[in-house]
Amino acid sequence: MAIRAGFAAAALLGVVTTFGTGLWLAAVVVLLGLIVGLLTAEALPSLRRGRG
Amino acid sequence: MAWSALLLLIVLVSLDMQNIASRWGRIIELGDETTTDFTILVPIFGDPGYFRNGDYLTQYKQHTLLAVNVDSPKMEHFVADLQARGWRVHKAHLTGRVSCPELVFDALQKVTTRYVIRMDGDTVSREHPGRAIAAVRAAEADLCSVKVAVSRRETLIEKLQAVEYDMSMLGRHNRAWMTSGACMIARTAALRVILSSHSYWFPGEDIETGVIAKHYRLSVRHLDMRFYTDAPETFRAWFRQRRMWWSGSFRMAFVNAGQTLRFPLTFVYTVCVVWLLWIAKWHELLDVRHIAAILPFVLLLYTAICFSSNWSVRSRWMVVYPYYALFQALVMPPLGALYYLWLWCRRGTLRPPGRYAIGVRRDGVNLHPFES
Repeated sequence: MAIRAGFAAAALLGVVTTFGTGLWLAAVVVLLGLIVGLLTAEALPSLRRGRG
Repeated sequence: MAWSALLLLIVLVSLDMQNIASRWGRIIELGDETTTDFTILVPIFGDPGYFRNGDYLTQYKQHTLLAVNVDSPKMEHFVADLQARGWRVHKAHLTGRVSCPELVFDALQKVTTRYVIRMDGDTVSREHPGRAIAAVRAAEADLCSVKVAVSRRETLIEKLQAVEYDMSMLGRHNRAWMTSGACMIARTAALRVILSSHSYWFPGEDIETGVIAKHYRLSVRHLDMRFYTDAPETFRAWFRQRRMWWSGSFRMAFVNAGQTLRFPLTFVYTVCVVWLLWIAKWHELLDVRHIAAILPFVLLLYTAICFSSNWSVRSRWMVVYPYYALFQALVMPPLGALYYLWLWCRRGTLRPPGRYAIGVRRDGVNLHPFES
């Protein structure tokens, strides 16, 4: 949803990306994926403790 | 135009990937040998609360000298309490805006050992400091930077600073002269010579120590030993600290440009990439369409650079480090410059403060007369 909103905002602004929209979207997905991965890795130990 | 942009990108990326060269730096490795010929000198001024490594230092009490500036009844009481608990204390009575190098220089008169470890009141090590001194002595070094790491890594800002410290310490492999105020090791005679030529200006005083050592052609090396120090735990405290650090950077880049030129790569990076390109960075940001198009690629590229150039100190927090670095590079430089100008106004002199007391041309020095 966030990606779609971000991309829609960029599209509304009339962005024609230097590297093409496909690559732009891929870059955003990777960045978000990395952050989600980080948050998951940080949250896992406390989740495990909570279950234990 | 496209080729010049590509060339600029390659140059900027290469500068950001400097840490790859850290593996070829000529560092001093820690050995098993140890010595007792050292004094740990801890400058404390302003408030007794800055003395936080008492538990750590207790094991080295006979090697420790606390340099305390006594300018209030509270500090007088603090000294009396320290002495009652068996600490060796140097009482200084400096006036005006006290700085660490000035206080350390004042206390050096009480140091009788051949080596001294200048250490902040919140710094500790896991290894015995005697091993550090033995390694420094074997390498015949006069001044050594060490690896300073963040001791507590709980809040977000501490974790980001931990990444930042770990990465910048790799840079010390090739720029050993960038000494940190948290901890540095020196031959006592060398530190006497260095600090007698110090401007005593607080922001950037630690790096000035290394610059002076290089000026006198002393042997400046990097010791591969970690010392752990407290980093600001809140954003507010971080902001205050960085405002001062960036004022030190401004001072180094512009007020002392003549001396900084001796280190061409540092000069190019600090003056051109960090300070002069600051305007270009904001110029890019003001074009929202352009920035929306390129920012994801810039962040992705910088994340990859962080990991690949600093693999030996990799951390999962490098994923968010580019956002922190971008914020800092955009916001802090002008605030640091303004802080410097504010300090200048407060001083009320025409001459810009913090000018290095050394000349531009290098000069050798004989340490022999300064050996105790």
